[in-house]
Amino acid sequence: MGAGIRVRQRRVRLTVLLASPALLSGCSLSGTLAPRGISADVANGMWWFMFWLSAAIFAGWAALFFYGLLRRQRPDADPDREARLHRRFIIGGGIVLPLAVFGVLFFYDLAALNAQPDGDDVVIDATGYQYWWEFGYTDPEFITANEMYIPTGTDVRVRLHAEDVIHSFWVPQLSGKRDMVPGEVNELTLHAREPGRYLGECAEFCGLQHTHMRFEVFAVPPDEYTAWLERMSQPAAEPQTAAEQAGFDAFMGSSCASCHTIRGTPANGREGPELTHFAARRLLGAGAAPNDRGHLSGWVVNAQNLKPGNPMPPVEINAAGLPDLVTYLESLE
Amino acid sequence: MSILRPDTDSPEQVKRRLERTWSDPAGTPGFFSSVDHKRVAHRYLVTSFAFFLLGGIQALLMRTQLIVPDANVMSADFYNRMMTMHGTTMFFLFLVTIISAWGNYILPLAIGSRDMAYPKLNMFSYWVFLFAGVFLYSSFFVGAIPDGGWFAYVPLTTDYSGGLAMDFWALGVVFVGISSTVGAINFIVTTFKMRAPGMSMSRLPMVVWSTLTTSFMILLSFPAITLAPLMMAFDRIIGTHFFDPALGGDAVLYQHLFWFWGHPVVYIVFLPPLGWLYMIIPTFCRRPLAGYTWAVAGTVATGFISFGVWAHHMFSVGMPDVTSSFFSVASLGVSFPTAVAFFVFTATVWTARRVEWTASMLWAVGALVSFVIGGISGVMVGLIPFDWQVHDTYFVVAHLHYVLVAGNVLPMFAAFYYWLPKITGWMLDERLGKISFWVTLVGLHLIFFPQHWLGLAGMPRRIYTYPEEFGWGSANLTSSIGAYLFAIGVAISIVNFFWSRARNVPAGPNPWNAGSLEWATTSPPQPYNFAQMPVVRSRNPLWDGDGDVGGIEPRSGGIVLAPEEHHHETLETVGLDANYGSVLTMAGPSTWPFWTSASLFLFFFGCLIRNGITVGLGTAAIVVTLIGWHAGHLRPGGGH
Repeated sequence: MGAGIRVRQRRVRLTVLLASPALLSGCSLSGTLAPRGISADVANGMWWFMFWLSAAIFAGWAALFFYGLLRRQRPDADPDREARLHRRFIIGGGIVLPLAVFGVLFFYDLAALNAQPDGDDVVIDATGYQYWWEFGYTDPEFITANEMYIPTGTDVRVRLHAEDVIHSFWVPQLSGKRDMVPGEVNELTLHAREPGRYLGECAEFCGLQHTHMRFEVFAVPPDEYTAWLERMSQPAAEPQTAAEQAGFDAFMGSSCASCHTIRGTPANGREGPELTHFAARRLLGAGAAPNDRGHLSGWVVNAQNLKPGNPMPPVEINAAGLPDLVTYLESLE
Repeated sequence: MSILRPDTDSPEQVKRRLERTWSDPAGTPGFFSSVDHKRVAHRYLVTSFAFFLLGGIQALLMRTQLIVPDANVMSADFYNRMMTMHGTTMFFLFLVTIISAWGNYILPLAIGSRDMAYPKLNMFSYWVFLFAGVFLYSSFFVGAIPDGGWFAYVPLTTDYSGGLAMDFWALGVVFVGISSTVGAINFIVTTFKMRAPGMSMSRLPMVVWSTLTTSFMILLSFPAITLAPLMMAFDRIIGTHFFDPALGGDAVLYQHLFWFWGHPVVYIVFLPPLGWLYMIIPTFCRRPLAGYTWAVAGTVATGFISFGVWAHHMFSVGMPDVTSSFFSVASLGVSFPTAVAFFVFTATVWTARRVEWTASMLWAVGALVSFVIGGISGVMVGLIPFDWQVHDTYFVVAHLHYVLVAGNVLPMFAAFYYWLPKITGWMLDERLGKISFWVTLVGLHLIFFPQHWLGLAGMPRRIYTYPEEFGWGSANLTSSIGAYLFAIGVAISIVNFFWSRARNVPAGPNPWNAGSLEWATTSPPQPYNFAQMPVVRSRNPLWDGDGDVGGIEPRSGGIVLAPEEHHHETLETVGLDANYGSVLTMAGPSTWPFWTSASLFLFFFGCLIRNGITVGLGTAAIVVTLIGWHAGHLRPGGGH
């Protein structure tokens, strides 16, 4: 533990030192340039360090090159002096300069690798499917989809699995990406510094709807996280109204139940995302649309309109039954 | 060896005899049987450029779909197919083939030879390229355009891709690889055996050094890009499980094989263009290249180191940090020779006698300056924790396009403006060339510079649309406008070609007053290249020569190799110093290369439609045509 804290302190110092140029660059930053996690901080620091270094090298070389091209007086060539100049340029610019720059960069590279969080205070299993995400929690044990909660200030070990093709798990504001490879288990540690809602994306081309394979990470304070775990581990809400009951019956009596699970009901399909607390989610179809009544109705009738090529087939339901089904789904807080 | 003696033949008689010996048969038979390296190169240039335009149209379609958030110009499905074909076309059918195109034209002339070492193999490599391109593009006519990405990662392209689309890709890539491989063998043997007497390796023009290095790299890396798609085709067609993790296969193995080719190939398509710039920039600085030995060492070193960097494409695949670190160091190491190259150019321009701002020089300087941006971002992505962030984002899209466009496309235009007068005999218009340059250059930077930011802002590659609230709209709009501008710039050069052809301003043998051997003969060169075989005594024969390099006019005492029997004869030299060896009798026109290529097409078509009879017929046809090809050797003067 003591060693862990020491590492953490060094990490922070490194980050503060190297991320400071970011202050110069205005505030309209997003993605990796608005880091909220340790790994993303390190990468952001690297970026700004390399950016200024590169800008200086590029400007210096270009100035030298264009001065050589454009200068007017061209003194008579003395072969010895020319050869000396050539040697200076080529050895200085081609060997000494890169040696110095790459030497610094290499040690920075190693230091940055060392500064990655690697604890496992919380362990979460993430599985990629064409084209959605499943998240498995262990204590208490439950499964949810397309939204992931993590506690702030904690090392969260994410174990990465793929059920079909290769996907890549990426939350730009928290950490770099790691691939999800079928047949293998990769690991990535997230450490969110501050609470917030962070966009997650699939970064490896995984087929027709690779574009709409997004998720959201909610980093919340540890006590809120515990409350969330408690809520999520409960079975689904019972239907309360007649409309909800009608919707429940429609769900269980149709093809819905054979692909989706709603804990506490007969629906236990594993083909599609788990729906026990579906109404609490912000988005539909792994980021394809907002989760509101209009989009949800459209999604249930024919998910191919909002996300062409996703595996969910159109649902055959009569127009009168649809509002009840949607009402029931919206009750699954 | 036939030496021209004043008492036997007159120069006119010799030239007439050479003309009769080396000219192709007239009309259609001549078209299909020609093995003249210049005709091979013409076809390579036209076909390769046509694929550049096709890949460009696909890019424009994609940029149109991405121009505003939530655009609906095309379906996700069509976008993915265009994305796949853009990468596949540009890499396999343009970038790799344009270097063969220029290599075929320039290399034999620059070393003072009358042809490539294996003329029939040379034409074969073109026909295979053409047939493989037709094979890949026939997917458009049966509605099975490949859609798994140009890198075609498994298992998306095996167990999760039905239909013929990825069969077209896998078989097409194996097919086109044959062309590059035989071409590389030809360049290597030609360089080692066919140099003009006196052209020691230390006098070898840089364009030849770079083509030679690239050819060795092709020989060593292309087996991987044959193996990976072949294993994919086996998984798809025969039902093997090389890449199926459920049955003990390994999906990551494919990536290692793919990138074992995929990184060297970046240098394979960059080194020859660097070689063109090594020829062009000294010419317009009116001085020999500064630091020739450094330039050679840098070129060859790049060839070696580039084989140790492939896994930097896979930092996020889950390798141990130690493994990643090795590839990270190697990725920094491969930048040394490139830095050397850039300071060779800097030293050259600093000691220029006079800088001539021709269109070709502008394109060359634009290429160098733009390339530095791609080189720098390449160093950045070599650092592992940073790469974890930007890998598979638009940052990498920006990086790789800076490298490939500035490292291959801009030099290609520099080469057009430089060598086209040699090929055609007329000058290209300089003013239009300069306008084309500026428009293209502005387009290039408008497209790709904002994409660095897009990647950092979290935009992944290969997405067909994006919502407005992510804030990626204005950068994408800029990028798309740049794409149209780039297209206009390219179009201006195409217009320039036809306009200049109509104007027909004669070029003369050496319009730029350059120093290398390709300028020692007529523009366009006669079918036999040189009436009197050149003999070389220095690195820039036309600059430091004593006026008797050889070339257009046979002179008394010169080597002419114009036998009465009309055999194709050229000189073979031996050793690193290119001492006189012997007279080689080369192959003349032959239609067999065409028929062997057509048989290969039949074979691959049979594999595609999974029809054993067609595969058998194709195999039999390959055997028969190869026998016909080599039967010629039994006749005297049959040649290689």
